[in-house]
Amino acid sequence: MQKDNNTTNLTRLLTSSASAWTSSRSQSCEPGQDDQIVLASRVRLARNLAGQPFPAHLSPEIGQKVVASLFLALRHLEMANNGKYILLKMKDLTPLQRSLLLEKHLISRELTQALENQAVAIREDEAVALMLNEEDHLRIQCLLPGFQPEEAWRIASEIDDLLEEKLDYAFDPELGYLTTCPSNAGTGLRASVLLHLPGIILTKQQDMLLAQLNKVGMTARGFYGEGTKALGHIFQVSNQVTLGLSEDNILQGLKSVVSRLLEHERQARSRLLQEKGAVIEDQVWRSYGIMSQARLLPGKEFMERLSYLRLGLDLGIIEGIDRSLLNRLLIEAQPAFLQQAKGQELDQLERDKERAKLANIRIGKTQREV
Amino acid sequence: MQCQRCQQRPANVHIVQVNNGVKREEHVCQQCAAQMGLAAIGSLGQSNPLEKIFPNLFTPEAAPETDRACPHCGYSCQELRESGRLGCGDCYQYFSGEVQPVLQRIHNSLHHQGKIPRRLGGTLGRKRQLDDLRNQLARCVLDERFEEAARLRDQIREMEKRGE
Ligand SMILES: [Zn+2]
Ligand SMILES: [Zn+2]
Repeated sequence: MQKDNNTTNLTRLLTSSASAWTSSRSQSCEPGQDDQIVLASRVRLARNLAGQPFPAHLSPEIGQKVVASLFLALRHLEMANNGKYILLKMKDLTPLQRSLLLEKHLISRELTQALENQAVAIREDEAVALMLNEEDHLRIQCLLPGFQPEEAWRIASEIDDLLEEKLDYAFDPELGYLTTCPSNAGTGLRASVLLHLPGIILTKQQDMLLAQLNKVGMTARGFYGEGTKALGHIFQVSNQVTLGLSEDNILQGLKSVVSRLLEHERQARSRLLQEKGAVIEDQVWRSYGIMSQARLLPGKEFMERLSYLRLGLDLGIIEGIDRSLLNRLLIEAQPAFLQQAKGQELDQLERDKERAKLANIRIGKTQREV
Repeated sequence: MQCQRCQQRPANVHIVQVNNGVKREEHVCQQCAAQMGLAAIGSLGQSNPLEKIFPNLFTPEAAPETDRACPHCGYSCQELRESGRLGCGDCYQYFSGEVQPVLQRIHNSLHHQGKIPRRLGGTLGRKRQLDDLRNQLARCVLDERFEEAARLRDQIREMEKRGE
């Protein structure tokens, strides 16, 4: 937990849209590969300390004790060569900085409240974030690019093992890990994948498919956790059941559900190409034109155009766009990132203008001053 | 008074939030309040994800006459019903009458099958293994797969002997 000599890392953390999950594993793979449709995989473990009230009920004194023992455990993690961590107390950050971390998916909305004793430790590679005094005392998050929930679980569980050497977790032999919300009890494991599903949406199958998810204990939400009206055709699919199944069962369940969704998506895409090839091709190139030249781009339209560009790349309609660039654009076009790039607060119209400039430069490769 | 968020503009909005029974007050400027307004709507919606799925999760048919409280953290049954959340690990035991039906509804189970902290791993791990073997044995007997059942029975005996 180096606080002073890591200013460059901190700067990168708070300015660069590049994060572990935005890197692309799919640059060279064949069209229709899993990693083109699955943007990222995430695992989150909820843990609490035995004998202490959960975060919402901590007195300031006990809260400090809890934080102190968590900090000690984090130091132990570094000593065990689990990489270097940057520790940030939420109260020390500005609201903009907190929003930047939220937009990078490195903290949850709960932490942006910046309550007393809330903190996050982010591993240098940004694949791991440990949130302190979120809804639970500890949330271990591992976020990786592409379709690899098992690898994310392996990393998170290893960290969990190391931390456990220094922490006494609240655990019940029958109910498992005890959490603030009963919806997380048991394994405390929430595994999710970020899916780009334009085919399913354009062929209007999402309602049917998402209803099926609920029946098998899974749930779907939008990119930033909003309702199921997913912006940019991006969905987050995750397990809802955390108790009564082993972690392995949960991950296998998620994988099989996602594999089925991927199959539907591939079929939908080839159907679209066969039946509406000209329309899709037009939409892809129209999106290229708009991203390259438009002077105002509202967030919703931006996300939709970005989705068509990604689809165009997957289908071989368009070439020469870096996939990790598309992932980073998802983040760069968010309000806090736009405001930080511009160095000032922006109202909605100004944000649409900056977002358009960003798209012009990144997609159109036009020389424009951001 | 200065805005407690941006520390720049004068505070002219007084915000009182009650979250999980904890009251928070803040004095902020109009700009920050507007920003929070968006955030607040977001977090209000998410403050109790269960509420959306099961609107009457902790609402009993008839409220008990006395409002019990967890002896460890002081969390009351009333708060539990309002927030859908627990105050500490002990609450799971103390409010088991309220919590277990909820767990059953969400997860369709009351039996953890996952990871066990290593410090408990020794004894608990063996208990879990034994439970698994006994379940398998019962299934084999039901399916009349007696050879396999005999093998499992020996394995269980062996484990029980080692455990003593
Ligand atoms: Zn302010
Ligand atoms: Zn309690």
